[in-house]
Amino acid sequence: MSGSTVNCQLPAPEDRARLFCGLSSAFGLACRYLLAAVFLMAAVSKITDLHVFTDRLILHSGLGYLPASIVAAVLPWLELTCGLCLALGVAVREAGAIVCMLLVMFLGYSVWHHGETDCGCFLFPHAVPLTDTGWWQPVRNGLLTVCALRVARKS
Amino acid sequence: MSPSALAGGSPLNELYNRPAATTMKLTNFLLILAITGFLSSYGTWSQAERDREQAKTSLTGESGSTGIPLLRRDSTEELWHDPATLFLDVRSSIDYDFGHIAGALSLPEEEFEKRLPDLKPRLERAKVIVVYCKSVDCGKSLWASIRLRNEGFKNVQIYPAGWNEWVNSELPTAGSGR
Repeated sequence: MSGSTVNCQLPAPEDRARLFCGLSSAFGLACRYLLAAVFLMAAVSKITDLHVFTDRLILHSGLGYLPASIVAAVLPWLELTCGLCLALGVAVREAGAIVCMLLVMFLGYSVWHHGETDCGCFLFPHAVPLTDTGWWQPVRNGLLTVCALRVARKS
Repeated sequence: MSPSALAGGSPLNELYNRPAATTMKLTNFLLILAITGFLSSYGTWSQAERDREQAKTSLTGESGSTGIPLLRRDSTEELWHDPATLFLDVRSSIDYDFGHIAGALSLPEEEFEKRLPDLKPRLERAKVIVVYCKSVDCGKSLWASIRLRNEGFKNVQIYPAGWNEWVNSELPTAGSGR
């Protein structure tokens, strides 16, 4: 063992900073594209069958007819616009902030209505039967909120 | 050490040294909201248009697979007032005798081949032939209509809600039971 050397030196502080910065940028980019994909998918799922989405909101959200109708009319298009902004890199921070706000509301709703069936918004409504998702929904929304915060703060 | 401390002329370093945007622009928010507003208005309008079209076609819709027009009660009633319209009752003879739409002729689906030759002259004179059965659950009117079309009568229409709706609406009827 006496003649051999093992290279276990830590990288120089400059390299570490570079590495950290690169990883942080990559994470931000990944968050942005993940949110873009999720929101575009959610928007397209709703827009392709607005009647189903409106009916679901009116019947299951507990919002009442008028608020549910307004949400059903606006939400899919807001998701589409924000999804496109994130995907195309236009007004990313602003879109991230709106998405973050939406996700906080979704998170609050999924915690408040915990144990109820999934809205089926993230896949085509016809293809997916309503299922009890347990804690998956709040966890998913929580993780997406973290991503949105990252995009809104540092893009 | 912050990335900005890494001085250098390479593009990578320029990227690291780029000042991060610290404020969000109000105009971008407004732009996003304006686009959303425009799209949701368009979506709501097109949805309403589609619904209106659907309502229009369902008033005098057609049977999806055959293209035979389906009639609603008000359209049927309008046609009933036209003397050139012929109503055909495809329920059993017993049902027909008990009660039928006033002026309707009996053509039980099971006796179709036997009775058709006698009815042909009347059917040929009719501007519109309205075929009806008991209710929407009864498929006889569809089968009879298809057979009539195959015989060359292209002016066939179906009143799917049939006798039950007609009599419940207290529209003109005839028969021993009425």
